[in-house]
Amino acid sequence: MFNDYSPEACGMTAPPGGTRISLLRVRDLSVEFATRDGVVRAVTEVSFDLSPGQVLALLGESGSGKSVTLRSILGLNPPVRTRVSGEILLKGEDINRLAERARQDLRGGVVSMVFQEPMTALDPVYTIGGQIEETLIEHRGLERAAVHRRARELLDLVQMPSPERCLASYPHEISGGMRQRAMIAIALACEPELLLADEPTTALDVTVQAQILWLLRDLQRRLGLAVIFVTHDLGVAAEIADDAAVMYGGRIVEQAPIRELFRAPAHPYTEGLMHATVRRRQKGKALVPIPGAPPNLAALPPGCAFAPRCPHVKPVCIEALPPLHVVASDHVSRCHLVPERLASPLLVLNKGGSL
Amino acid sequence: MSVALLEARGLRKHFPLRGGVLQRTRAWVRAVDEVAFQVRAGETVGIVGESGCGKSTLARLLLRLVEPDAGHVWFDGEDVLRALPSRMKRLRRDMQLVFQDPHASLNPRLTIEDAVAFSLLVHGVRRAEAREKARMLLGRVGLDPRLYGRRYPHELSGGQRQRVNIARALVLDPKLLLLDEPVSSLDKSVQAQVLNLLQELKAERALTYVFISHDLNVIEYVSDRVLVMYLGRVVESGTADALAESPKHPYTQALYASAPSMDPDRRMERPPIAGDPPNPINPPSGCRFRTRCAFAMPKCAEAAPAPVAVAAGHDVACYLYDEVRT
Repeated sequence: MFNDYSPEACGMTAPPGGTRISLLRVRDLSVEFATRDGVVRAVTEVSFDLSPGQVLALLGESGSGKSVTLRSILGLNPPVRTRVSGEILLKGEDINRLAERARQDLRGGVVSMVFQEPMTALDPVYTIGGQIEETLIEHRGLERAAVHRRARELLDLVQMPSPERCLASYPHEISGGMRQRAMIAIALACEPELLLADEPTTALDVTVQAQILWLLRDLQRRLGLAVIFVTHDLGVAAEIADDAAVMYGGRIVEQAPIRELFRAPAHPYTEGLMHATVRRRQKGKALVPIPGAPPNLAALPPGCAFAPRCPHVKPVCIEALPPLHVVASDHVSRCHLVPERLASPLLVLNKGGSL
Repeated sequence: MSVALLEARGLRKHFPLRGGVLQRTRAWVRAVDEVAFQVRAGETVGIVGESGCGKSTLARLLLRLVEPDAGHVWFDGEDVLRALPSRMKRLRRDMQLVFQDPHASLNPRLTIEDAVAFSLLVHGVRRAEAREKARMLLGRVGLDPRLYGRRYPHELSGGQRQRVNIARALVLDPKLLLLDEPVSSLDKSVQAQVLNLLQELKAERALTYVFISHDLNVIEYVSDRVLVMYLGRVVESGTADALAESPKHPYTQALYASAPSMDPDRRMERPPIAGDPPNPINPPSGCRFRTRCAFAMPKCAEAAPAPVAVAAGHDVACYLYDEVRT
């Protein structure tokens, strides 16, 4: 019933549903940075698939490797002192083997990115209109008039308040929420199939975050976009994702459909994160923090990176890297204790009909 | 019910924006306007609001790190705004501030032991005694002084630095801590550690907290009573439970409705309100929330609504609840 896959044999989970074609296929992606303190292993053997129209949340805390994974998909990691290995197949093409020119064509046209801080990602000396038009001219080679019309359409698409005035505004003249809408408009300018979003709502106020999350979900549905949404916030992932991959110490430690992840987390780190997060109506109930601190990526242990903080740690966890265990269909967890803990009555009950 | 340890009345701060060759005042940032509240000994009062609502300015006004334009602040029965500099120094021993950004608020050239001992030296404690007390407090906040005492801030993680900040605030045995977004820059797993530590310290040392945050879940979790601020004004105040169970002000309602549910089966149907909080430079006339409010009436533009008690200890500044007043 419980098959143990070695990471090599399994790579990572089969795409949900098994037969869907993948838009993006990441296999054994590792990213290392050479620093003064030694080699930092930011991402280690990350594999996953993404189908057209699928929304995947990459969940993790600072230093978990989620943003580096995202940047690797665009080939945006710094070229010096960086070693990238593994395959990133975007519509079948390995972007690490493409010439810079061909990569440029993929960026914008097939895949584009929304950053966390729109104030730093937008260029302060060009108007919003100018920046949208530049993208269109660069990638599409449209005529001036057509470009202007399309820019206006894009601002309507992201439901920008007073779009005409916004086209002529500089980034500092509009609000944080409007800047993030403008950045989404630029990202959508060339009708990508895959949108990479790096904590796009983290810098925003909660009432504005609600608007941007809702907008992204609405656009995703209407345009059939696939989205990889990097976030540290379980609540944000719950709002937007179909599936979630939880990262810790540079590896994916658990991957599951989002409902499954919230209903029955199968990795002690995911469980710990759920218990440590303050929720509504929790007053009077103690928070259960995860003790200790995240691992040093320049000195990762040979076993499970979470072992030093894990309440269920066993000797095997310190000695050997856990394989990915299948918990349920589409649900995997990189934890030695999955077979044992799954066999306990409580977890079997939680699993309900899926066993 | 105990008497107020801290009380503010009619507190106001408008910052001038100067420009041009003559540096004339061109506009005013109305950061804090007519704010009044009480904090009783032993309770935690939460202040919640979005960026630009004036919550951090408010903390600085209470300590006179920024001088208010108008209003009164009493601490332990003493008029803070009239206190002479020597007396102010004494008052600040009893009211300590913990800042949000643990990176920026520690001196990079001091070891953490010296950073914690520093305020004791300022207040005339002998060096050996100050160091001893600093080491004891570092131990209490979970940083073994033998391991960490001689380290510099850059050698610590964000959570550890925030522990140093808390130790530093406690070293003078204050009665009140003003905590300005103390866990906002921390990862969730570390956030829970620091929140638990703050709860333990409060019980151990009979502290009173003013806890400022933009995170509604954190505010609800730690607070006995909550003030909701919007563009420099308090729009609603009440017990944390009353606000969570039945928020009255349209802004408070929107704030609660905007917070993610943490449940993939109960996703937001539509965004609760449109637009960003307006700029506190020249805010809207009358009720400052009216430009984003679904219930705005003509009179909302005329004058700011005064707080109305909708229940005991539950005040709302909104004309929708005006009939309760009459």
